[in-house]
Formats: sequence, structure tokens, C-alpha cells
Amino acid sequence: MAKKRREVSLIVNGKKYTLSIGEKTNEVAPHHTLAYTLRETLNLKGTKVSCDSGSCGACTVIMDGEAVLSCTILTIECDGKNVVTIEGLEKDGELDPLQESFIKHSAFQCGFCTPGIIMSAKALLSKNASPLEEEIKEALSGHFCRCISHYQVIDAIMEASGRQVTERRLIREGRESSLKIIGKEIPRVDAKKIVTGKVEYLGDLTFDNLLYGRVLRSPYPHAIVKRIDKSKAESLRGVRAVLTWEDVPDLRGGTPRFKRLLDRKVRFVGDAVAIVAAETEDIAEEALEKIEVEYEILKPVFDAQEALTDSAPLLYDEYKQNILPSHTSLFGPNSLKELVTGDVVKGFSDADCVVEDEFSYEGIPNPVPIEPPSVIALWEKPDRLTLWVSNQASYLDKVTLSRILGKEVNVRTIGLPCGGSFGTKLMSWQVQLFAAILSKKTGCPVKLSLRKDEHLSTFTLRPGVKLKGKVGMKKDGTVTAISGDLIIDTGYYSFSTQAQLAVGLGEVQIMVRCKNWDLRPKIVVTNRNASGIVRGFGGQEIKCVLIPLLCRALETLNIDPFEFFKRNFVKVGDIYLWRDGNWYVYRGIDYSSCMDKGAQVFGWKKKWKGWLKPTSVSGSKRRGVGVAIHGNADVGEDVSEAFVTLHPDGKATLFSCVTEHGTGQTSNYIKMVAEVLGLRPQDVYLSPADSLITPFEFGPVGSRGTYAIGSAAIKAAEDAKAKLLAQAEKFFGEDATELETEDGFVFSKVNPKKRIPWYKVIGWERTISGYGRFEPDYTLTNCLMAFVEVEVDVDTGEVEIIEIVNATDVGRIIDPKGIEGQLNGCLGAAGIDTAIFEEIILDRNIGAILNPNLIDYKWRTFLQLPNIKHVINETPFPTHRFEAIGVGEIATSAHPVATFMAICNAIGRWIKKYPATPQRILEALGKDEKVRARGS
Amino acid sequence: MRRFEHVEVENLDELLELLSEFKEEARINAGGTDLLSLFKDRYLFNYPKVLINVKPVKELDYLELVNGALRIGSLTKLSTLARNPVIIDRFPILRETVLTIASPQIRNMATVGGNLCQDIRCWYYRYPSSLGGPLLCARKKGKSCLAVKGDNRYHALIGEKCYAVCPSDLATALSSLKAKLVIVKKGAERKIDVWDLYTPQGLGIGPDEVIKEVEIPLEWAKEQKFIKYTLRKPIDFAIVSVASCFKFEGGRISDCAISLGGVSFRPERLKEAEDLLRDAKIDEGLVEEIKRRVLSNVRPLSKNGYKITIARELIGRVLLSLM
Repeated sequence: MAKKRREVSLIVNGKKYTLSIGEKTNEVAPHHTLAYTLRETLNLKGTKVSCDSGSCGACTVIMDGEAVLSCTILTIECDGKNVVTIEGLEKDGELDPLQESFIKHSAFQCGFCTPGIIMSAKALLSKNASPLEEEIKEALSGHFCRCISHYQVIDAIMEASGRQVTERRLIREGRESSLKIIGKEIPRVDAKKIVTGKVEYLGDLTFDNLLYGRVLRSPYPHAIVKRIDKSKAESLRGVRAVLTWEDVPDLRGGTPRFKRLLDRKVRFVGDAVAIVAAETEDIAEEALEKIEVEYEILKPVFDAQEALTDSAPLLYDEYKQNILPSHTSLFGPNSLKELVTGDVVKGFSDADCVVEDEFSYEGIPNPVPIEPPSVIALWEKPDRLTLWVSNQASYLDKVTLSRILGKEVNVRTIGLPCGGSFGTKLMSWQVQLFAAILSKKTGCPVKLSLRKDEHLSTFTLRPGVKLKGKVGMKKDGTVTAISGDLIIDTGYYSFSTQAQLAVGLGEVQIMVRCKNWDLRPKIVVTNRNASGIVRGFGGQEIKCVLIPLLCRALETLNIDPFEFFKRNFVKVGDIYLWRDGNWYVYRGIDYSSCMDKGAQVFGWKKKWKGWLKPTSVSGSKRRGVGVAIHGNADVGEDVSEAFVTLHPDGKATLFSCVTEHGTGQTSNYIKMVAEVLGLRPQDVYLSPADSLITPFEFGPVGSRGTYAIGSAAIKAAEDAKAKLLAQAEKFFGEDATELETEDGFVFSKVNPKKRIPWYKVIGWERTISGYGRFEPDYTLTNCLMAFVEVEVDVDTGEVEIIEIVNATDVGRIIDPKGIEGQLNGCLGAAGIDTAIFEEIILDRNIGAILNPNLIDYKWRTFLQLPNIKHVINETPFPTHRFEAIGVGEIATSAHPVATFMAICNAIGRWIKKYPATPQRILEALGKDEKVRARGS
Repeated sequence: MRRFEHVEVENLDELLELLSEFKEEARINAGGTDLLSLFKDRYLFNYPKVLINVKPVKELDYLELVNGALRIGSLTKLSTLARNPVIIDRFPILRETVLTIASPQIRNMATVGGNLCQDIRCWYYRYPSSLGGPLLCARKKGKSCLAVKGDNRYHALIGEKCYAVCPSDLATALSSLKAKLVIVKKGAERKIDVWDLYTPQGLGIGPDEVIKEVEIPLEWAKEQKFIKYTLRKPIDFAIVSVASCFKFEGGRISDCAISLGGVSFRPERLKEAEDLLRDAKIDEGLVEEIKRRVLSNVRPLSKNGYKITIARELIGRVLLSLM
């Protein structure tokens, strides 16, 4: 007869476990998933959980020989099963050949998805020792990776199965170099930990007495909280705190600092109404259901244009017409708020052609890094708050929170490896403060981790941008004037939108040389989730609407966009207004040569047939090409500081507040220090990203990692080395300039055989420390030109991306696999696919985000990988010790507009709104049934 | 996750006994790939109290050729379908279809019965409690379908009060094979057509009933084709799908079945088109005629008219490929 189980026995990684069914710590409750049991009961944390609903593959394990999703399986139903997790792949301390191959190919970026991918690959290879590339893609088609490790993963699996990896995606001539480490293919220092599942992300930490935080969220887009009854929730066993706006201090964040942490008014569906801390996540969730809230419903506004009208409801009484001030103190007293220079009236009158049009990039996509936004907070003493954070720039969390909490509280942040951020996790202040005040109330550490639906509905989106503008151009492609109304929809508040606007306005000048500008943007609040920091930081959004406007003029004058961009991209001596409101003179390199090479590799000259003309037609399938460009003077933005300490045993420590978030840059800083000091990378240690022990670090944002953070680390190493050599003078009787160091020895350049170990120079009871600081430099920009070819089926509206060529120049490649990963990233993180299918879908009647899951929110799978090539020139940038600059951040930015252009050229019509969904394509072609019905 | 009682059964009789006892209060957990979302996302207002694990019921995991039909036990896994030699040889459409469903890991757990009975994907219906939901909709306590006035780009063209589509690609394919479902309850057994499993308000079988097997007639479906239109491959549910089976005699179509997915609360058999095709020779004129007639009496919602364009185009392509 039907039975209730008393226990469940299963084998995990060869070891048999018999677990009782029950509610105690070491037991299995009926609702426990296998993922939960593996992680929490058996402490096997290599298996990751991201979506917890069977749509991302992170939790993949092998069960009875098959890859399965451990988040969709109840442990109670696993009796007699044989389970293998990532921890089970090592045999006698030896890595599985698959893991070795992943290390060799750097087949990961942030690494959070990697254990799951390896398990699927292992299951595949166990059945099919030599799979075809298509079979590998098919086997991995359920894996979500936002950094885009896909190509390198396929290489790694091909090689592990004995196939030749012939694919060459990096096209570079390379440079002669005497450097030993920089530019070489050396595995990342965290590679082994990543492929064995041993990286400790925030969710893998264990604490005694840890409480779990959850947030009660508003069902209404705009309402006043009239009454909250939390008594039932508070009386629930295991609930330790329930806090509402009435219970918490008036803490405010945002730009200006106007958004209350918990407010009496809610301004979007998902806005925080109350927060709960409880002994388990289940209890916290149950408590949320027991909080009774009475709302007074207000009229919402979802459209930015409508929000500007007099009849629109106000989100904040102090901001009339829902317009926020455009200033940001982050960029000093004169931050760039508008782009008004020259004389546009004259500019338009000088033009041979003036066009006006309107485009919108309002898909408000969410980059959805795979690791959820999370924090653990411990308010230890009245004046001391420690946070374990997952962010690409953990020192900035300290700065943000210190400014909100005031100087009475000493905030310490400890940055952990970050499972992707793409800028978004810099906006974690609300999540962090919820946990912090719950910790203050309870005296216990509190963990708060967003569910995937909360992540998609309440965490950082791209800004929505609409441009109604006008362009004047001469027949030769000289732009004489640009003007327009730029409406920027920031959602219910702004954290950084003013800063994104400032940078975006700077970047458009880097793209197009024009003397007369009149762009006066408005930043508007609406009743939807907030927009904020995302890779591309303002520039991507503005270009997505400005470039199509320019294209209308290029179309009228029949000018090739490649030639236009090449000619217009910033050249030495050009000036631009940058984010701080100051003019800068460009002193970098001319990027024309990499653009030419990119065009040649892509075959632009052959494929470009003119505006709104397909490259080729085959039945209903039409191919089209597009090109766009992005460059940012952020490679040298903001301040970095570092210490390097030399130890007598020939090792060194780099003290820098950097966390690894997928770019591989932490390894690169180590390599830079090692190169300067003549050490092996494994002899250089990186401090924890603990604000208590490291100096200030703005973090790897923008593309500043290589040039700014790298330079600080280099300077610290050089400073320490100079001290070392100065101290060594007396042993050699030679001037420090005649000395060099290598492998923990100082030697004479004249007589290299004379070597003295560091311990003799330093002494066993001493160390030597050097300090380095990087000060901002806005006179350099990076550059990435993207060429895209698409195929559109004009009878069904289907779009396929066929080929991408990226062209850039980085001075010197620090890590070949790393830069390739960054550039492959154009296919992830709210990049290229925001032109075709990636968008947040907001119901404009009820204000709810309708696709807060990884099925309805569209991301690119392993089965849809276009051909991709990266042309990378290496023209030296002399102001960096290794003559290098960064390019990572801008990898996504030029692609949406290039793709959009390619689609328009393929179908022969302009589309005005992103993304170009099948519905919009068919509508543009007059093939949407609704349109036809109306017309007839 | 929301709590539930958990019981396990080892054979069909035990299962039917339990279902007759618990009725609406119980839910069967087969692969579990969809059902757990209900407890995690809490998108309903009423929840089943008991979850019945049927994984140990080996008697429902089979594929056999008996009496002129292929019988597939309802607990057969989707991945088994995709690699079974009989399927590959005689019902390639099922393999083609299965490979477009979800992801390999899901197909390794998901079952035929579970796929047919999975809950609808409507984003209003499934809106999670963690974001202020669940929402009142026509399938729950609400008066109207929120999709009608809202964003209905993925919704059905054909519905009644509710405009959720039948989410099962397998149902679309099985309809074109003219498959039947054997439905059992304690002391009774009946057979229904696959499309009759679905009504605009939910599954057309009782809470005490369960699908025992799928029965597919052999021999008639010689030409089989499944096309699924999605934004991405695989993972996505169909925006539109077309499953079709044909038998030719002397250059003419002697029998056929065409079923559309993604447009209706059920797999929509195109009987009118089938009648036109029967005994006909396909030519371009006929193809155009059929394209014109497909879904011609349907009034789309505000944002899903493009599905008609796509459906017609896909059907046209299937027919032209047979010329």
C-alpha cells in the first residue's frame, strides 16, 4: 500500500548516505530538493543553485548516469539513486581530464555556471567519448552562462574528447616581447578552484546562528501603505524580526539621495513593504504571507513621455513632472548634464541634408548575472557593521553605505568571488541595508539573497531611452549639427542614471565629430523597477537610439556607415566634453587600422550593398549587415590604490580591494606584480578584498581594470622594488639602477652571477612595502567596432545572427583567453540580444513584470552560437607599464545597434523600436495579420 | 518551498486507490520538472495537500508494439522516446518533437504523462507570490483573463474566457499521429483523443483519473513533420508549432492530420485543411488556398496576430516540401 518514507538511502560520489525523513538539521524534509540536501545537509557546495526552477542548469549533477537538475528533484524520491557531483570527479587527488581541459582553455569566466556545465559534459562523454560539436552544443543547451564562456567550453570538451580544436577566434599579429608572464597563456590563479567547485561564493559561506531575510513586496505599482498588521507574522515560531517603514530609520539612497529604504509609499510592483528575518528561509517565506497590508491605491504612470505631462501622477512630490535633477556629485560640481555646444542653428543651415526621426531602446533588459544579488550582514556593535558582499567593486559598497549610515557607523565590507555582476551589483545598497538592519535588530548575522524572480523584477535594469532628434550632415559625411529630446526612463528611482547620462553624452562625442550639439536630456521616474548601472553605462543606451538617427542621414546621402564611423571616431588632438564637465584633448592612438582589418575579416566591402538593401536573398531568407562603434574614456577613470609587500622568503602580497567577477583580472594584477618583481605568479598572493586591510579601490568598472587598477598595482610593486634595490646597494657596492631582481634574488645586471636572496637584503624580521596610486586620466579611450551579419526570414520574422567580427586595439594583450572571453561577452549580459529578443516585459495596466523567470526572459543558448572573430591590434599605449588598456566593459555596447541596422538592411524597412521581435518585423513588412485586417 | 505531505506508490492500483481517496487534494509527481514550481512560486490560491511519488511505478514505463499500435506507458521518460529505435524508425516526429522540448537534463526526468499534463505557462496565471502575487485570473478566482487587455504575445488565438495555450509540444505531435490516451481510474478505463485532454479551463480528466498510456496507430503516418517556431533553441515553448502526418497513394494524399500548437488551449486539428487535402494532389494553388483558410475565422488578441502569419507560413512550407 502507499507508504510514507521514513528514510532515504542514496550514494553520493561513491559514499552511501542513509538520511532520516524529518525536520531536524541532518534530516531530509519531504520538500527538500536534491540540490538543497547536497549543499546544506551533506555540505557539498560545489553544486550551485541559481534559478531554482529547472531553467538554468547550474545545479546539474549526474544521477544513474544521466545529467539531471538537482533543483527539480525531491531528495525523498532519490532512494537507491547513485549521484555524482562536481566533488566526485577528482580521483585520488587527480583532476578529471575534462577539468584539466577546462583549465587549459579558461573555459569559464565568473565560474558560477561551470560545475553544472562540467557535469553535463561528463555525462555526455561517458556515453559518447567523441561527440561532434553539434552534440556538445545540444548536451549543453540547457545551461545558462551570462559571461559567455560557451566557445571556450566547447573547445575544452572537444579537446578532452580527443578532437582537434582548430577554431581560431582571436586574430592578432602579436608583438615581440621580452616579458615572461604578461601576454602568455597561463591559467588563471583560481582556475583549479573553479573547475572543482571549490570557489566559495557568498551562498557557500556558513555562519553560526545565521538568520534568513526576506522582503514583502508590493502588488501595486503606486500606493500608500495605510496600515500594516505584522502581529501574526511576528508570532510565528522561528520569526526573529518583522520590520516596516514605521520601524526603521529614515535611511535614504540614490541620486539625489531621495529614495527611502522602506517607505510609506510604494512606487512599483515589487517595491519593499516589510522585511523579515527568520531561522529558516521557509519560515521567513511563511511569515511574509501572514503580514496584512492595507493600501490606498494611486494612479500609476509607466510611460516616461506620459510621466512628463501635467496630468501624470507624481512619484515624488519634490520632483515636478517626474523629472529628476541631472546632476551627480560623483563627478564633481559640474557633472555633464547636457550636451550643448556650438551653434546648431548654423549647423543645420550648413547641412546638405537634415533628417528628423524617433527611435526607442526601451526593452529595459536585465543583465541577470547568474549568481543572485546576495549579502550577509552582521551588525556587531552599535558602531560596527560588517558585510560579506558579492560585488565587482566591494570597497564602493563601503562608501555607499557609509554615506547613507553616517560616520557614526564603521562599515567594513568583505568582497567575495562574484558570480557575475555586469555593473548591476554596484546597486546592492537596498539588499545590503535590509540585511544590516535586520541584523541590528536581531543581533545575528542575516543573509539576504534574492530569488530569481525578485532578481529579474526588482534588481537593476538598463535605462529606457527614447530620442526624438534631428541630424544635419554634409554630402561628405561631415556632421554639422545634432539636436534632440532625449528622454531617459529610470524607473522608480535613480541610483546612478545621472552618471550614466554624463558618460553616455561624453561617449557620443568620441564616436562622432560634431561641433554643434543640442541634446538636453530629461531623467524621468516611472512606476516600474529601477534602471541603473549596467555594462555599457549609458553609452550603449544612447547609441542605440542616436546611431539609427545618424543612419537616416547616411541613408539619404548614400554614405557607407563603416567609412563614416572610421572617419568620425576620435583622433589625436580632438576634444570632447567629459563626465566632469571639462574638455579633454585626446592623446591616444588612431584606431583606423584595427577598423580596416575588422572590415577585411568580415568582408564588409563585399557584403555592404547600400542602405536598406540585403546582402543576399535566398527565398524568404534575407541577409543583412550592420556596423557600429563604441569607445569610452573610462579606461583611466577614478582612483585606485594598492600596496605590495615583499617578504624575505621571496614572495609578495598585493593588497588591493578587488574581487574576481569573471574577467580574470585578479589573476592579471598578480601577473603584473609578478612581472615587475621577477617572480612566478604563484609566489604573489592577493589579499582578501577586505576594506579593513586594503586601501581604497574604485573597482573593475568601466574598462578601467587594466589601466587604472593595474597601474596602481604596478606602481606599488615598482615602489617596493625600488626600496628593495636601494636596500641592496650596500651588498653589491653598486647603484640601485645597476641592480635587478628575479625569483627572490637581487642580482647585478653587470655581473648576473652575483645574486643575493631577498632575506639577506630585507632580513628575516622585516618586510618591504610599496604603495601605488592611480589618478584619473580621461585623455585615452578604448574602441570596439562591431560588424554583424544577420539572416531574417521575411515570411516568419525569424532572425538568426550569422556572424560577428569585433575589431579593437588594446595596446598589449595581458591574457589572451581572458580578453577573448570578454569579447565573446557581447552575446551575453543584455548585449546583442537586446536587439532581437532580450527584454523585460512590463504589463502597462497592472505594472507587473511578466517574465521574471529564465524561460520567459530570453538569453542565448549553446545551440545559437554565431561565428565570431576578434581582430585585436596591439599598438603600444606608452603610459601603461605594459602599454595596455582595457576593453572588457564595452564589449556589449556596439552590438545591439549594429544588429538592429543589419535587420533593417535585410528587410528593407526601418524599425523604430528595440527589440526587433518577429512581431515588429512582420508589422514593418505589413505581414502582421492584425495590421492587414485593419487595412482591409 | 511550500510544505506538503509526501507519499509513494509502487503500482497503478495503489495510485488509483489514493487518487479516489484524495481527489483534488492530491497531485501526482512524476518527473517533477514542472510541478515543484507550483510549491516554490506559490502561484495558486489553493494547494494540494499530498504529493504522490509515482517514480517507483515501473509498470507504466514501457514502449511496446501490440495489436497494430505503439503503446507508450505514461511514465516513459522523454529522453527514452528520443532514443528508442522503434520511435526513430517509425515515429521520427516524436523524436524531432522531444528534442525541441526544454533541455536535456529536463528530458532525462520528464515523463510523457507529465508533459501532457503540465500546467499552462501563462505569465499572469504563473505570476509568483514573491512579487505581490498571485494574480486573480480567469483560471483562478478572477473574473477575466488578464491577457486580453495585457501582453498576450504568447497567448492563444483560440480560447474561452482563458487564453492560455496548451504548453505540450508532445500533444501537438501526438494529435497529428491520431493518438489516443488511455485514461484510468479506480474500476474504470476510457479512451480519448489527445486534443480532448484539454479544455479552455484546464485538463479534461477528473482528479481521480490518470493517463495510463498513449496509443498510436501504426502504418498510416508515412510522412511526418514537426516544425516549432520559437525565439530560441531549445528551452522555449512554441510560439507556433505544426505537426503533420500524411499518407500518399498514387501521388495523392490518402490520409492526413495536421495539428497546430501554440495557438489554442489544445492542439488544434485543422480539419478543414485536411478535408481539402484528402484525395488531392498538392500544387501551389492548393497550398495558397489552404494558407488562406487556416485560422481565417479567428480574431486575434491585441498582440498575437503575428501567430496567424507564422502558422500559415509554416503550414505552407510543410505542404510545399511534400510536392
